[in-house]
Formats: sequence, C-alpha cells, structure tokens
Amino acid sequence: MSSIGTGYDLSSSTYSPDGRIFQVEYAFKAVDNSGTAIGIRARDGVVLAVEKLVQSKLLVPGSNKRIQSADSHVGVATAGLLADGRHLVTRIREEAQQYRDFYRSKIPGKVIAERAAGYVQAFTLYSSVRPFGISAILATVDRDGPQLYMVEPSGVYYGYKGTAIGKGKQVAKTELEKLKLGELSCREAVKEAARIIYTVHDDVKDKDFELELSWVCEESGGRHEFVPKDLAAEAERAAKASLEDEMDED
Amino acid sequence: MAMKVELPQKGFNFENFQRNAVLADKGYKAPKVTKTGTTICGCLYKDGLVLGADTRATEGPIVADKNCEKIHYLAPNMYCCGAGTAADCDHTTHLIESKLELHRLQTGRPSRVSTALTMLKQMLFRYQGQIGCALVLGGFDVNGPHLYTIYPHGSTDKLPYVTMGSGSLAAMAVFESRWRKDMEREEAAELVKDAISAGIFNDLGSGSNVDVCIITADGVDYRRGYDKPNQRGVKEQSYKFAKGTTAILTEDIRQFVDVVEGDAMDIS
Amino acid sequence: MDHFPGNWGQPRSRDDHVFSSTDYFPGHNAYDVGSRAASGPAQRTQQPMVTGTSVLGITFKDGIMLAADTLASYGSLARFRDVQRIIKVGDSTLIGASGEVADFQYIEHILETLTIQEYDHDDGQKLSPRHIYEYLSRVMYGRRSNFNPLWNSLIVGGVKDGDRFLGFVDLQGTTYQSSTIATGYGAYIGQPLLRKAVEGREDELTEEEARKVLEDVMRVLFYRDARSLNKIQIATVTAAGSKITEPYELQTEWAFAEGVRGYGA
Repeated sequence: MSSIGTGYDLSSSTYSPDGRIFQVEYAFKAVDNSGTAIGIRARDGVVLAVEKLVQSKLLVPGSNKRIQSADSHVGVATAGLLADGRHLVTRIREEAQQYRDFYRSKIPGKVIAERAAGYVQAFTLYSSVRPFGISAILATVDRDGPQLYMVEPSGVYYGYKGTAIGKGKQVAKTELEKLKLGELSCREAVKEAARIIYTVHDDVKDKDFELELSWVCEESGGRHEFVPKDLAAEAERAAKASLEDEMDED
Repeated sequence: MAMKVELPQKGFNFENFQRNAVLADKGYKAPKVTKTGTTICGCLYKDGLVLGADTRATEGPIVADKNCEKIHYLAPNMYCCGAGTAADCDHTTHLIESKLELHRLQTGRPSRVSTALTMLKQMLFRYQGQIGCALVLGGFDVNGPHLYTIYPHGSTDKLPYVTMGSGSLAAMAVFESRWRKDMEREEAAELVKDAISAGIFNDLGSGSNVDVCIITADGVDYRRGYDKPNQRGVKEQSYKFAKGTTAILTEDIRQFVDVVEGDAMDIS
Repeated sequence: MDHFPGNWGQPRSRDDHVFSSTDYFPGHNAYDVGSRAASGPAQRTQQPMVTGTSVLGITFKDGIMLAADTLASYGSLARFRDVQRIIKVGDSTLIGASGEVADFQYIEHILETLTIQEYDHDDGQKLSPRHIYEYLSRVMYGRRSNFNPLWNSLIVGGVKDGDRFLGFVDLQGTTYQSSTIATGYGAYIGQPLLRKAVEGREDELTEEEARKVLEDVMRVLFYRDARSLNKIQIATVTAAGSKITEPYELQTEWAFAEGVRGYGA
C-alpha cells in the first residue's frame, strides 16, 4: 500500500493526515532495494547470510563486507545504505564496550538490540537528520542461548527465529517458514542459509554476487566469526547443486 | 687521703640523644657512614667449613679499593668475614683478635668460636647497632666446626650456611639451590666460589675477586684470590712515548755545585 | 532542542581509562570542593593493598616460559591462595604480574578491550606480543606521568612468527628486554640463578630444562621470600600456542633444620 505523500514527506518531523511518517517509509525503500540478508536461529547458534551484490569486476573479492562483528559475540548483517550500516555498527560496538566497562560482562542480545533500536529511533524524531536507511539483523549468543533480532529504520525491533531483509525477502521468508528452525543444527542452518540466498538471487536483474556466511555458535566457542572456509565452500556447492536440481525439475 | 672512685653509670648512656635530635632539626645531620657493599658467605662441609668474600670496597658509587681483604684473622683456628662499615669491621675484629690472644694466654687453651661470638655480640649490643658490623664468623675448635652470623645490633644465628652483605640475596640463592650436608672439600669450595660470584656479577656493591678460606681440624687454608674473574685486559701494544717525542727547544745547564775529586768523607 | 546527534549522549569516553578531567583540574569535582578544600593539593600516588610477589620469565629453545606463585597477600596475611597471576592475551602472548592485584585485573580488562577492537576490525591482523608490550608501556608511563600509577611490575612474553619476545614494564614505565626477567624479590634472589642457567644457552635449553630451572628458582624464592607460597603455575608459549598449567605444589627440603640448635654458645 504505497501512496504519494506530497507535502507531508519532506521531513521526519511531519505526520501525514493518516498518521504516517513518510520519510521513515521511504527509508524502508532503501532497504528493499538492497541485496538480501537473512538470519536463522538454530538450536545451538545463529547463522547470518548476505547476498552481497558485486557492482564491478574491479572490486576486490571480500571487500565491503556487509556482515560485521561487535564485541566478540555479536554479529550484525545490514541491508540498505552500507555507510549507514557501518555507522550503526560503530555505535553498537561502543554500546557493547560500555556495557563491558560497567558490568565486566558481555552484553546480552536483548540489551544490545534494545540499544541499537533506540539509537535508530532517535533519528526519526528530528528534521535536521535523516532516518537510517538500513535494517540490521543482530545475531548473539549469551547466557540465555542463541538469539536473533532485527532492527528496522523506524526503530522497531523484534526477536525472531528466522528473518530476511532486502529485495528477496518475500521469497526468503517463504523458504524460511518451510524449515523446522527449532531442530536445525548450526551446520545444517549454514547449508540452508546458503541455499536460500542462491534461491532468491535474481540472475537476470543482478549479475554477480558474493555469499557472506557467518555464525555465532558452540562450534565457534560463542564468538561471532565468518563460517570456516571449508564448510562455507561445501554449503555453496550444495546450494548451487540444489539450484540446478530445481532447474532440471522445470 | 682516700681517692673518690667514680663507679661507671648503670645501664645505657643516652646523654647525647636530645642534643643530637636538636642538632638534626637545625640541619646538622649526623656524619654519613661509608659502607663496603659486599658479598660474604660461609658453609659447613664434611671436614670443616669454607668462608668466602668478594674484594670490592665502595664509597657510595665509587670503588675505593678493588682488592681489599674482607676475611679477617681472629685466631689460628678462626676467621671472620666482615660486611657493613669497613672501619668498624676492621677495628672490631682486631679488638676481638687481641682479646682472644690474651684469653688464650690466660686459659692456656686454643680459642673456642663461641668465645669470639660472645665477645663480639656483647660489644655490638652495647653499642645498639651504631657499630655497623655484619659478620660471618667461622672456626674449628675442640667441639668441631662452627659457623655463625652476627648482626650489627648484636643478634646471632648458628647455621650450616650463611650469607651477609648487599650481595647476600644472590649468594643465598646459590646456597639454597645447591647446599647439601657433608659435601667434599672441592665441592664446598666451588659452591662458595659460585655464591660469591653470583654476588659479584649481580650486585653492584660487590665485585673484583673471590677470596676463600678453608678451615679444618688440620688448620687453615687461606686462599687470597681463589678466583679472579674480573682481570683487566692485556694492553695490545706498548703505549710508551719514544725518546725524543717531546722536542727540546732550549737547553740551559747551570753549575750549582763544584765537583771536586778527592777522598771519601771521614765519618769515624 | 539539540539538533546535533553527537550531543545526544555517547555511551563512553575513549580515554576513560587513561585520564579524566579531574587529572588536569583536581578539586573541580562536586565532591572535591568543600570538605576537601583545606586538605592540600590533590594526591593520588597510592600504596598497594592486595599484592602478588615475584614473577619469573625466561626464553628457551622453542619459546618463552613464565612462572609465578598463586598467592595474593594482604600485607603480611596470606589472604588469597589460589590467584592466577599469569594470563593469556590472544594465542601468542602471556602476561605475568606482581604488585597490586586490583590494578592487574584492570589491566586484564583494558587488554580485553584492545583484543576485541582488533578482532572486530576483521583485517586479518593479530596483536603480537610486541604490540601488547608497547601498548602496555604507553599506558603505564602515561599513568605514572599523571601521578596515578597502576602499581604493577609486568612481564610480557610471547612467540610470533618464530620470534621469541620477553619484556618487562613496571609502574614507572621502565621497560627492558632480556632473556631472563624477574620481578620483585625474584630480581635479587632469582635473577642470579636464572642468568647462570640461561645466559648463552637460550637456543639450546629444552622445555624440560627450562621448567626445572624455573621450579628450582621458585623453590628458593619460597625459602627466602616471606610473602611467597609454594603453590605455583608455569606458563609456556611456543609457535604452537600458549598454555598455563594448573596450580601445583613444590616439594621443599627442611632436613637441614635437624642440625640447628640454639643461636650462640
């Protein structure tokens, strides 16, 4: 349901007559135009996967990563304006460090999601700044186990068992709903995540992409890290293979 | 006419204490005492004991004597290593050496180590630590070998191995590492040499050579310069100036005395 | 209304742990003025309360070995007898500390902060022992220069790309590197023994020999340091990584005491 908000869409501090803030809604569009990012909460950890669209062959492979670490146990994948994503991650790192300085303990998932969302929301209040053009998926493991959160440009955030953002989010969400998320192990989730990214990738509209895979789990010792090369390569191979199977089916 | 005999005052004499405190407040501090900075040690072995000492005497940061003797003779069967104030060690050991000789003449027996110990400790205690002697006393008497430490305030310890001086921690580390009961003579001498060397090379107050003194029932083997690990290098060339290096510009010879040939002087 | 997001509250100051405004303007805090006004200039140089004694470090053929006892003393009271005074930083570095335990725990925290920052950077670089050493010596000297020292003597040891590193930093910011290092009483009692055993043989000493040397010296320290304990830990770093042993007790010799009777005649 998109409508033109002429007259009521020039600043964050203006409501439309039907109670919408169009600037924030336009920010969502920036997210929807970007490459897909998904998060899966498995029973022993969380997996993040990003379809990083490669604009030019001149780009060094592995540069401009869209998944970043904050502290040792928090992973953040963003979709939307990459620079805004980096700014938010910087703030998340500061918040996590402050929590450590104060409590001498790792920041829990719930708290960091809350703080990130609060920060994003502050930018929707004033006309002097623009809202964040990103949605961020946060993956953490703490004393309460693995957790997955997603923060939207409006500052709204929820905890999820599985979520997707970006241009392929509808297809991705359909795929995610098919999975038995509560029973998956992290290794299985990595394979599924790779497969889903390959499924949503549109070969026609977008040329090349790099698959970024990361996890926080028991196997990584509770640290957020990029999935080990051998497992990532295996997952990609399986993903490509299953795509071919699907094509053969047609 | 009877002479009035003045008995000495009982107890310690603190007459000057208040005066010294007032002077110190006014800025007239007591004169500073020069120390040796030293490593001395001793240890018992199967047949007797070995004493050891370094040979550096310091005045603050300056080495005053590169090869002084810190193992002092007390009796034919007894030697004493001294650390602390050099003058105090010298004079105190000389004094007790004399007292021991007089005592030997009176008793007609060889001196016992405990006798020297008691003389030293009673004197040092009387001076309340003002005499800066930290001694390692060792000797072989009728009751066998004995090794003692004596502290400036007059306390003593009787132990199988002891070290004193600024290098005592380094030397004691070596002893604690390797001393055992009933060592052989060579092993004990090597151990003492290594202990003193640890002090020489790791303590700035100690240096130069190792003196060793081995005391047994048969007598004393005093080895001055038992080890010399710090000898100066041999000069590569002769640096003497050749005759004629300084040019003679003028010569002026004057006769002050008339030289007369003649007979030798008559001194009968 | 403040339009500038930068003033909407930062979670923390980057230099909180190095200095604060009161360092330069002592007496300008609300709690400083008033009751403290007449007590003279601001003073912060402290005295340590809960302390650890000597730490030893040597290089051997394959890497570095550190040793320390597990005692934290409260003056003359042996208060905490199971304290770990050697920690790992990353895979390639070990740090042993003597002095105030609270300050060491703080150093542990700032090193963790440093490690996390490097990790998040995700650029394939890892902190080497020398990096950590240089960082610590800056922090220690900086604190000393502001009359607010961290009351510790630290030994930093590690192996990176086959190179062995062993260095010393203390509360004054004094630094030096050597193949044998000892803090506290270890400097007087341990160093002579360590030097004799290690100097000149750094590339031949095996891990077994190195361990024996350290155990022997820790034993002598237990004999002669009145604030030590015979429960120790040995930590090793080699190219393969680092490990710290569980605390274990040293055997000691007291048979010589049978021959000690009295103190004089």
